[in-house]
Amino acid sequence: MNMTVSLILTAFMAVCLLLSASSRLLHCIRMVALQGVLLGVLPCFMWNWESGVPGGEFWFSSFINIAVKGVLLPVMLVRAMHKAGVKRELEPLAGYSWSLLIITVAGALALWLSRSLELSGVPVLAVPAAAMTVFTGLFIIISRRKAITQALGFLAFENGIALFGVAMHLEYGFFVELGILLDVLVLVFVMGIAVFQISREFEHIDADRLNLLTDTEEGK
Amino acid sequence: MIYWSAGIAAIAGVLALLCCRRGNLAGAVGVAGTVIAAVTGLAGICISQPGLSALFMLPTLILAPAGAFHSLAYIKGHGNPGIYWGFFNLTAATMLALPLISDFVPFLIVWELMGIFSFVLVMFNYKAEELKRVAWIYLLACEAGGLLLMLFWALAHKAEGSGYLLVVIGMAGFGLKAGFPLLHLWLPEAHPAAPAPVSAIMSGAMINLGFWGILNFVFPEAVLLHSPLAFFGWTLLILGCIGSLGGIIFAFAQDNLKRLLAYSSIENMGIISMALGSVFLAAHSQHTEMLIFAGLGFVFHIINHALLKGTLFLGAGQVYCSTGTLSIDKMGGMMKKTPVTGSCFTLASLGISGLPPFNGFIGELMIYLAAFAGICSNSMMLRGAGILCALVLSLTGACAVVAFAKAVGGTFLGESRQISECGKESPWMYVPMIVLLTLAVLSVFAAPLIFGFLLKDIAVAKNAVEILWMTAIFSAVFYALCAWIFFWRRYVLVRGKENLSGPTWDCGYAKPSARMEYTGSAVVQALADLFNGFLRIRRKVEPPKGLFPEKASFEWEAPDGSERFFWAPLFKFFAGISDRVHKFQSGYLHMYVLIMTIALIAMIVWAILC
Amino acid sequence: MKYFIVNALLALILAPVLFGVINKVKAFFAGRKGPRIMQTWYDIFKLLRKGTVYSTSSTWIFRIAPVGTLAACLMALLFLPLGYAHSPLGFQGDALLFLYLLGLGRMLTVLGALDTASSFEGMGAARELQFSVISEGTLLLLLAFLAIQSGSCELSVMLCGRPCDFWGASAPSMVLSAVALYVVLLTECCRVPVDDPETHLELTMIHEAMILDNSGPDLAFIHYGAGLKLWIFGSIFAALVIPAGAFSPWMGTLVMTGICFILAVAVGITESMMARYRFLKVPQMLMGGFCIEFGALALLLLLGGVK
Repeated sequence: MNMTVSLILTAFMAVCLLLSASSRLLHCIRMVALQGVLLGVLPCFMWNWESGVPGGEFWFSSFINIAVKGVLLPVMLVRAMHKAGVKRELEPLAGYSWSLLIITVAGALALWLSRSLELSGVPVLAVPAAAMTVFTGLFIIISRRKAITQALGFLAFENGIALFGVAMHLEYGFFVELGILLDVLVLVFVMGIAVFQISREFEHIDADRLNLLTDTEEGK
Repeated sequence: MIYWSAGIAAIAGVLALLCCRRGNLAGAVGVAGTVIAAVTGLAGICISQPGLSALFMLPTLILAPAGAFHSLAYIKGHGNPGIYWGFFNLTAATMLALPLISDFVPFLIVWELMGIFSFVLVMFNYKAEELKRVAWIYLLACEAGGLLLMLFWALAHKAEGSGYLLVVIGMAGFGLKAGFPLLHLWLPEAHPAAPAPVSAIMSGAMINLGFWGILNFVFPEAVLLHSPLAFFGWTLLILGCIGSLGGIIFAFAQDNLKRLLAYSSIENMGIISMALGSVFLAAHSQHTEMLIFAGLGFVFHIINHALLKGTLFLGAGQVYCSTGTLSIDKMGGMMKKTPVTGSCFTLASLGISGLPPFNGFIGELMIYLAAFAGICSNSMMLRGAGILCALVLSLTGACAVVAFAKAVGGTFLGESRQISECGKESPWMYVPMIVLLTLAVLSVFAAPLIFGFLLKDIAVAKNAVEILWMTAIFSAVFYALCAWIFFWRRYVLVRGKENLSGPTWDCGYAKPSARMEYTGSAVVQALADLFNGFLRIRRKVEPPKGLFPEKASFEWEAPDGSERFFWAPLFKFFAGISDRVHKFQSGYLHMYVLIMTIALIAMIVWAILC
Repeated sequence: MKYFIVNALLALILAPVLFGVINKVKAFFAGRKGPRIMQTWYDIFKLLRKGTVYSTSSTWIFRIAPVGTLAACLMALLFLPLGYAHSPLGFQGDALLFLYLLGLGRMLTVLGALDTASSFEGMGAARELQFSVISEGTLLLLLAFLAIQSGSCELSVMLCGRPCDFWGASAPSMVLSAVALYVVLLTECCRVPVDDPETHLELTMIHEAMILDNSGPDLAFIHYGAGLKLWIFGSIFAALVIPAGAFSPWMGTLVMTGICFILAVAVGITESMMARYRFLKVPQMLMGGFCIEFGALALLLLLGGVK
């Protein structure tokens, strides 16, 4: 049982690497969806089945994770992507090889952090995997141009936080997570509409050029 | 007796200077001086076994005679031979003397003399225009090193001592000679400009002396630090990592053959520094096995580097004498014109890339073994250091393969690109190369014998000697296997068959020409692009225009990063300040006296107040 | 000793057959019949019976390069614990010798390629050099990983002397290492998606482009060396993923040979499923392998499973 959990958490870390190295948006969205599904599956392997069948909240949380993060949001993102007519993140601010190296270093940092935290009762890999996912999300927001990729970054970030919650069996973790999930949902809605509008107005969806909308002189 | 070797070289130097009117006589005196000095020195080492100073004398003792013979042909028609031979011997004398001096003040004097004597040698071809800047940089580096060492000496004698600052100043002073990263600036400038034998000696023997200084003078001052061994270990290890990887990345991007070799020297100094760092770290955590391996790696790499880099620089000298250029992209096909030089250069390149079965591999193997001993230990610090050291060493090794594949492939292999006339090679030049290379190849087999004898009383070193035996056996088997396959093909497989020769098959293209060949730059371009974030290559592109383009051109070069992004802005900054101070130099005497008076009063007031 | 000699002979005989297996798998996916499984051996024998053609541009380097490359591959093979039997040649530090023997083979091939003055061969050499830098770093990290698990740097001990329960102790890093090793295998053995050994379109090749001018026995040596290299990496992979000591010596032979052939099938499937990457994308993939291996090492170091 322990080994399966470690393998799932390793998969989380591997997904972070893939996410940072892939230029195809569809691929990235699939990766984030995979994270959502893994997040839903993980509690089932962490539950001590000998102590009885878990309650409704447990199943609901898993279901929400798989349904929303694994299916609903990715589907919406794919639709936004098709609407805006972008397929690739062409010119990221940090090249893909460098992104890989940075995320690897971030992973090592996360491992080091988790060693100094010394939590008990938590799978050893959970904290580093969660921290690495959070770092990856932030890194993607920082280093990519397209609005869709940035939304993906937010989603990965949220997955990381949710992983913290799942791994630590937080008492109110479920509600906190639900709150963030709602935020992300709204974000993706807004983004879906905004992307369509921006791409119609400017013929691209590069978020780093939104500063052109400013009133000041430098922006123009 | 070892002291005599330095003395003989010095006397020969003065004698050669005295007969500077008679070129041939000066040459004879110079060569005889270095040879006698070398024989005396080697005999002295065998008799008195002076330990570590022998290690630092050995490269000079081997390279000085080899360089002297090479010079006989090299400096013909290049200026006054008397001056050359005089300073050649004097430089050799100072280099031999330095490892024998244990007091700092005489050491510093000889150290400065070495800088000045070698400066004359670097400047030997002083009529060349581009040499002025180089000479300026070299002199600056020597003098800055000297100044730092004086400061070090002064601080060391302050009563309370000054800990880290003192050590850092000392390391910077000696690091300037040893080509530490950022302080390496003079190496890629001075080596291409100096006569080849001088580059060989400077690169193979002189820059090592920086490590001698650090070991002998800086380290004893470090007792005041919190944990001097760990501090020295980590500093040297990290500096070595930056130096070796950075050096070799810049090496493969160079077009000038001797500049490439100079950067490779920076790389090798980095590797030596990593070995020394591992020694200190092992001593800090009292890991005997790692200590022995790292120590042996340090010793081997100094000797191997001297032998191989000597061969390579002498080979570059021959190429320069034959063609008049050092640009790899212009050459090509030199193997057919200078076969002995080309063969020696190729084999030495394989060696210095650290490939088995040559001697360069043994040095690297020992350092790797030290790193892996650290990795297998229980201490987290040693593990980290081991992984860092091994990883950097492997990346450096892979890049060295690239750099030397470019140097050999671009210069000696294929067809000649822009060289129309090519002089013949001279036996004065290639015999020293053959001797050095033979020593290098044989040292694989000599190492277990020599070190088995030297380390016979140390029980823990038994393992290391065994490994040396195994590598020696492996090398023998490898040579035998190669020879067997070679002769099997030659005398059994293809015997009596139709063996043809013709032009290179260029995929059906009828008339392949040398212009279509991949140049040295083209071979490394892909990798250089990968490291462009670090190299910052300067490109000049003139793309072909129109339907019938007439001309197009493409140039790229990789100027030194530390100069472009660190030293040049720094010097510019200080030049700005100097410009402002310059206003005080008004030309009026009254003004100067006024300034002096103000300064005097200020000092008196300061003295009273404090 | 006895086991090792049998295993070594088996490797020397079966290594070129791996290419036959790969080609059969690819032919199966393409719906063709494909060349015979022993085809590489037939090619080698045919080439050994021919004379040589040497370019007038080339020198002794070109003549010695295939010989040296083959010798390096042979020596590297003999340091491995073939069939889980300890190599009698092994000594402390032979892992590094192994790594550098591969480097020697590469340098000689590159020099041989540059010696012909052909633009295509130069192109192949440039690519080979670029990719080798990253894959060599990955291999070294793998060696460090094995050294930590086994506490030794003798190749036989590193691969076969590890505690048998390493899958239980450090499963995640084992998976990552296996993935990274597979990437290195594809690179070092010049397979899709790094290199395409099938097409004889010179612009898309690396290894095949470097040996365009070789002929006769030289080409036979090179083909044989390439087969040995595939066997070398197959054995390392086998020893990495399956613990030694779980079975008797002859069983070990069977398992390692089996895994080599399974890997050949896997390579064949990989080649049938995907196209060769653009050359700009290959370093990314290799960098990915490097990062994965780094992650494996970090996991192993920081989270236990350490002897």
